[in-house]
Amino acid sequence: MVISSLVIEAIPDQVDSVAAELAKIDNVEVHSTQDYKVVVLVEAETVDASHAIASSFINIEGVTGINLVYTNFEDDPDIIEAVSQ
Amino acid sequence: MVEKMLNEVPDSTSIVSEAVNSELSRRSFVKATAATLAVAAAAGTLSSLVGCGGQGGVLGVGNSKVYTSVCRFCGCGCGVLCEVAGGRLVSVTGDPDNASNKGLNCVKGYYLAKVLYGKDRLTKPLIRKDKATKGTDSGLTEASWDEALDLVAEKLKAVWKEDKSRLAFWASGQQPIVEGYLTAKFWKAGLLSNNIDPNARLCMASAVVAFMNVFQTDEPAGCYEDLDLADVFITWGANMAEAHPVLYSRLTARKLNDSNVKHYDLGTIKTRTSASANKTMLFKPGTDNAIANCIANYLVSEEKYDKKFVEAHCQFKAGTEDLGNAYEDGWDATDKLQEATGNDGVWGIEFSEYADMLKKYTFKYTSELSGVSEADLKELAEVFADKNKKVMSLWTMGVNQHNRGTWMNHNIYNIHLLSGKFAQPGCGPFSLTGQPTACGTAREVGTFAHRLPADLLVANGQHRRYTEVLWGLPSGYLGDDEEKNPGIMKPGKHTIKIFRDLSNGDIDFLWSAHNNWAGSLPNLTRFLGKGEKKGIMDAFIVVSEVYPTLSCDYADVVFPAAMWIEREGQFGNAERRTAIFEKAVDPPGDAKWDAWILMQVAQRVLDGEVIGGNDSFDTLFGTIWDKDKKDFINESQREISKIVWEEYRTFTNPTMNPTADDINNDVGDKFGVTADDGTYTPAKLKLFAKQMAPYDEYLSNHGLTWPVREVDGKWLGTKWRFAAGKQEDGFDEYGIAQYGQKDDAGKLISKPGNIDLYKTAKYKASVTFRPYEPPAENPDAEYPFWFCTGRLLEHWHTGSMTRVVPELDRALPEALLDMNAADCEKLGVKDGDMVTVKSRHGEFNIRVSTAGRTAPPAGVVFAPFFAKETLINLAVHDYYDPLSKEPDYKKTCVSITKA
Repeated sequence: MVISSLVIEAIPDQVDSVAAELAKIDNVEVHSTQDYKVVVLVEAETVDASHAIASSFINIEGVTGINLVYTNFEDDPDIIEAVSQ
Repeated sequence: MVEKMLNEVPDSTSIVSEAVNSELSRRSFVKATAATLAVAAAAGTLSSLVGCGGQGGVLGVGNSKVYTSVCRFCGCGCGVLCEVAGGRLVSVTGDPDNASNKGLNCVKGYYLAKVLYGKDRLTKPLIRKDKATKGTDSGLTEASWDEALDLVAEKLKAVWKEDKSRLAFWASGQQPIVEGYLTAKFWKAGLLSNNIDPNARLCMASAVVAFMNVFQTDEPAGCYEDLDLADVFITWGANMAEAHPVLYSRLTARKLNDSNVKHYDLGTIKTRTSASANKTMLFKPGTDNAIANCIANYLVSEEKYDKKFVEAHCQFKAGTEDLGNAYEDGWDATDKLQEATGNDGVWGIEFSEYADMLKKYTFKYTSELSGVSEADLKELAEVFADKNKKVMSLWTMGVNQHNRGTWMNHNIYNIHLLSGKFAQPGCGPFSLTGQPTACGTAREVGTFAHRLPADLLVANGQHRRYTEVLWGLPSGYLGDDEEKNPGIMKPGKHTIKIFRDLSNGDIDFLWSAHNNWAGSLPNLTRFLGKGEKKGIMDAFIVVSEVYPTLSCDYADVVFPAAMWIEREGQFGNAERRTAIFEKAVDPPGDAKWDAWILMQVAQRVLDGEVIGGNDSFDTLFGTIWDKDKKDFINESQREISKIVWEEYRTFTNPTMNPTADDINNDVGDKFGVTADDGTYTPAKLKLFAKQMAPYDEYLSNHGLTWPVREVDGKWLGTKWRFAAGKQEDGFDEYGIAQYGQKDDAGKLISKPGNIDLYKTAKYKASVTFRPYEPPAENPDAEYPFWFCTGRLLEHWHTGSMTRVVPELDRALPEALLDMNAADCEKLGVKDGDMVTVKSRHGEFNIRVSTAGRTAPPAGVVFAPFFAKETLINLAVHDYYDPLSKEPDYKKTCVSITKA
């Protein structure tokens, strides 16, 4: 699995609703909130899929920024295949 | 709950031991790592956790190793930590110790995972044997390194010996500093040719010329921290939300922290940046120069400018106004341009004269011209009139890629200088950059056709002499007599001139490294042999690349290069921060470090050549390369980079070389540098103004912003150049102490909170009146629309790296033409229709979108330039700013018809 963590920035009075919306998304875990920031974990099969999930956050009402902090792709089958070639 | 969560974050040691002791699965451990890092990043306490360099932390556990690095993509230059296991990159983390981004990356950080491992990496040298295949994606066959290097060296040497005006190197802001420096040295000192120019000519040249004109030193006074402190932000034709997401995130964070903070977005189309601005002001293309003058006029005529600041720090100038528009071959040599650019084409005027020149730009006149309401213009002008507001202006391509881009840069400085909003925390004009290390490589090491390292100029005798000393060249080797020994006294061909000459059959050898001119140049119809000019087909073209690009289709030889962390590199970002990315993995196949490729070619071309009786190659590169071994003297790229860096660093640390120090200190005329009348004019090089630190400091500090000063054994960066205050607080204490303005008693005039423009001859910035000039083309019955081009979030420039990442390609698979619904209705086209976009220069087909990423007003259309199947630059004109030679990509007039 590709495991990533992100800090999602939201309009301050919409942090709770943003966190609730994020939590509804498959493979997304809301870890905590701080001020206007929501910390989320994304688990997906590939980097591509993880990126697609993270990019979709911009469509949530109240999201103002998506910051990637960490992404671990040691198990991404696409990358393993590319490296082995 | 939040505090509880943060308090629950364990220290790094306990995380590791917990993971090991409880035999958590690897997945649980990675998840715990991910959560810990993100919580700490949100709280700003990430630094202690990452364990860089094996110091203990949640990264680099077990068999993996962590390397300090910088994101590969844009000019923000965000720090990243790269974790490597089993010879491959396995994770990427925002680097908390790099002050440019403090642990946060944009979603492009995901691409870093894949950019090394995309399909079709170039892994073998390629040679085209049949010229008839040029311009197609076939015809290149694999070759050995020796075969490819011998062929390139033979062609280069032949052209060089025959007529060196017919060779050129197109350099890149994508290449690290050491590679750019070595290339410039080979070209300028080895081949005595100034026909080297970077792709930064297409994005930053207008900013560079204005910096030199206004402050006599390149690059901004302020830094990214200004984004955390400003009261008002103004984006001038810049879609920061998509092009500089991490910086935009800081801007929005500042707004969220204080409801009084405002953001005005000025542009010709609505973008994602407009969507979150407090107010968007759409102006008619090209009228930004009028808007800035309108603000200046208000400040001056209403006496709302900062009189004390203006008196102390500004001088006033006017310049040649009739510059025409540059389209025809040979235009550079016209009398008009020579007059306009000779002595910068400017002259001193009184403040009252400047005030008179501004008078025309009333709110009424400017509103009619620009389409921005008088009320909005007044609101904007009041921002600058408010003495208590800290204002930050931000701009990139909308201002720079402009037929009067240098003027618009001037005009932004003018309003900041008039209002005294300059070089203070949270307050000042800030020119953003597009390419990763455009500042570090293209601008600082001298890969421009008119430059030498450290802002020095080929046309200046003292600058050449200084360079000769540091490069171990005999006095006068770089030229000392226009007739008998011209050397490199005359600037070479700028980018557009190179490609115009190439298309005309006047360039026989072109080497381009890490840029994709066959997609990124304007007017590709003119340059790619699709019109009547076929020179590109006859010239010998070398391309150094990592993935196949359109430019490879025109190459005779392709060199496969190591990319990003496959070699050690040095990065200079928009806030003057120099940082290093360490070599962390090996390049694939036979791909090689660019410095190795360059040295191989240089050794072959310079074989048998002498400089002052000594072997040319050894004189220039003997410190790093062993000719017998045909390789570097040391296997360690770190050690080679250090040697080159120390040489380059001497340019900004004159005391490292006694003769250079004498020149920097203007010790008489003993260096034979005199004016025509035999007198000696002090050079006033002030090279410590760009002071760089020893190599290792950049590794241990995760980047430093120049000028970097040694204070009590510690190297400290400068956040605000020219601003008086303590060095440890980020101010320019040592620069001002060394070069600042002093009173009769020898005491410094500036006090903390003041500025000192010590790099300028008279301690004064130049406020030059620059009028509104209509664009090179204007809509008419035949070509009724303005066509604006640009970049969107998912794809970097021509997409040569990002389009090999499948998900990015799916996210934005096709370049679309964003159109206003009213225009569509008028033309009878609808969302999804294919149309032909035609200009006076060429045409292309594209699908229409009325719900695209940008929302242009009626009369303006937009498309991005990443897609090779939708080659929009076929129709974009190549008119350029006469002062900066940077093309205007934003205002081609086109017709649109259903395809």
